[in-house]
Amino acid sequence: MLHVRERYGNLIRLNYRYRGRTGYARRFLLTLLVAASLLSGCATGPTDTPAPVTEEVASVPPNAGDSTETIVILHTNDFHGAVEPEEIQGSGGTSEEGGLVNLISLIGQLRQEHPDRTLLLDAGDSFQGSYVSNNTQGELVMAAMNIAGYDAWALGNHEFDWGQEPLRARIAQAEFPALAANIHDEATGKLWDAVQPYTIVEVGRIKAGILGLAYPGTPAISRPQNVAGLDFRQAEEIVRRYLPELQQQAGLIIVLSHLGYDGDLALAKAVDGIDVIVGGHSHTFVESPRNVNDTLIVQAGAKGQVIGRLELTVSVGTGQVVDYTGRKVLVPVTGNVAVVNQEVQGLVDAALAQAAETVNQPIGETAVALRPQSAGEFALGNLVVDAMLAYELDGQRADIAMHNNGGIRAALPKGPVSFGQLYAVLPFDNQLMALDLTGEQILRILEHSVSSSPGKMQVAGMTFEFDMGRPKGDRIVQAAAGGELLDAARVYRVVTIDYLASGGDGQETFLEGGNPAYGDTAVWAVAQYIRAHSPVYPQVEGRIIQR
Amino acid sequence: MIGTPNQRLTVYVDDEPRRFFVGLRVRHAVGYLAAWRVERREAIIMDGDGNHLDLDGALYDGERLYVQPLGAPEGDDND
Repeated sequence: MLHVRERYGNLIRLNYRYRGRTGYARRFLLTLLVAASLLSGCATGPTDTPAPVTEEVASVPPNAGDSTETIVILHTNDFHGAVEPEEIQGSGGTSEEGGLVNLISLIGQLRQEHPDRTLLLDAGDSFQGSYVSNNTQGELVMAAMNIAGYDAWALGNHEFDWGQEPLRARIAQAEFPALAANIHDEATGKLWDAVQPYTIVEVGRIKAGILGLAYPGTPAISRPQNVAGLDFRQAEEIVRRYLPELQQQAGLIIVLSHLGYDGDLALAKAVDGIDVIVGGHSHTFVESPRNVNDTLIVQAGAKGQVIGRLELTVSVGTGQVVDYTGRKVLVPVTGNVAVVNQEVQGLVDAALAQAAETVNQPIGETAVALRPQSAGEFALGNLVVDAMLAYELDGQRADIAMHNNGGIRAALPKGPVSFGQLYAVLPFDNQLMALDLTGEQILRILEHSVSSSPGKMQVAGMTFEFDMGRPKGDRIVQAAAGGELLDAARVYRVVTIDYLASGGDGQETFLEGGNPAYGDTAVWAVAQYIRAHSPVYPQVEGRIIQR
Repeated sequence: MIGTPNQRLTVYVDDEPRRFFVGLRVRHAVGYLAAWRVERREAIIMDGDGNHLDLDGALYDGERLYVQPLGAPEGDDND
């Protein structure tokens, strides 16, 4: 793998949504995890029930003939296509954290310890998040999951990021069940036909019933067309409905959840009879299992940095958990694996080479050289906001697009444009968001954009004039949208980026917006725009005028 | 709980309440500077239960986030 990285450098380390972290002091997460492990053994845990008897993971003893069986649940969640490991620069040299090859290799190593008494589960959001994974719409990651031999997978909200058909393809590719008991067909009211609600797995002498739950709020944070016709139901009602059915078939009841840590806590409090919740969505590193109402809640951070390893001693007769690992349930994924999984290594090498090729292929061209600019209107800024305005985020175009100058970072020379070059222009993986804002709120946003320097916001669908000689808060002297003066009372649909929508650059007014909707990343939208309009010829058009 | 898309959630960052749209992430709540410090391993984010959080974890209503500085990393004076 190293030779591939050396050949292709950082171009293939492009994340669509997640900003790539620097290698700087990367090793400190390892230190942190070790420290957290040590601390967790000392701290008073937030448990509602007595502490477990077993506190250290040693080896699982053979126990045939006993009334109990000790099993291991290995679990991952929110891998987000983190195919490449992070390189950690330290005084002792370079080491690796995470990465698909390391993850699957370590899973194999851990599973090999007790192959007939180990469950391997994933709690969703597996694919989306890096160029190399997005480039295959998750096919690479799913191939690796098949090699690892997962027993079940719960759908996360990001599984819908490319629409239902690509997801169906991934489900068809999976050699294990895709679980989502709470996704129903709106038209029929029946379970969505792409998934199953639960699976029963025999692990040693224990029958485990594994119920999958997707995030009920998925429609609110997904592109509407990607979840069209689907009804995401609340977890509690679904678990209550399926629990008796599961308990008839299995002794150990596991919920594989993409509800998030708070959702898992609420579910455990509300519903009796769940033995374990293996969670995801909130990217929480649950170092010690949280015990709520006799339900153990675990979650293994995100992005393949750790593998969860929960050891349970279970009554063979009743399926009741009589003992469990109390701490050190997160195993760091590093480059120090005993045996590298060569099959996954080959897949990853091929995918990285393919990604390196596609990322440098022209997607279109610009007829003019384009440069970023810290203040005022500029042609590259107009290209970005024009692309945002053209993007149909929730089935329609917005009235206005806004992007901060500071988020547009690199130049594009005249000529062919590749995705890799565009990523340098928009390197922050900002996600598009559409909001309803009144003209008065838009005016406040514009005022803030000229409060400290002459214009830090690019706009499309509107124009404005400002006078830096006037007092702060009263510098916008004219604003128009759609060719008409901005109406303070009218509601406009505005597409912007999540950074601004969360109050970035001090733009708190965006937080007052209504009907938020989420789209692809800004860089993806601009790439689509260039493909469709090549050659592009953005110019300064007098959208922003300083008097 | 998730309701209509208009629903906001309140997150407490170092005990200060802030309102965000459902669907935003930990990095949005703690802000650009804190997220940058986390990426440089100069800080970590913990939740109210003492769990370490990834920057891209989903926010939930009532969540408590604490930005905790880490010591200066040794031997990393080149970055």
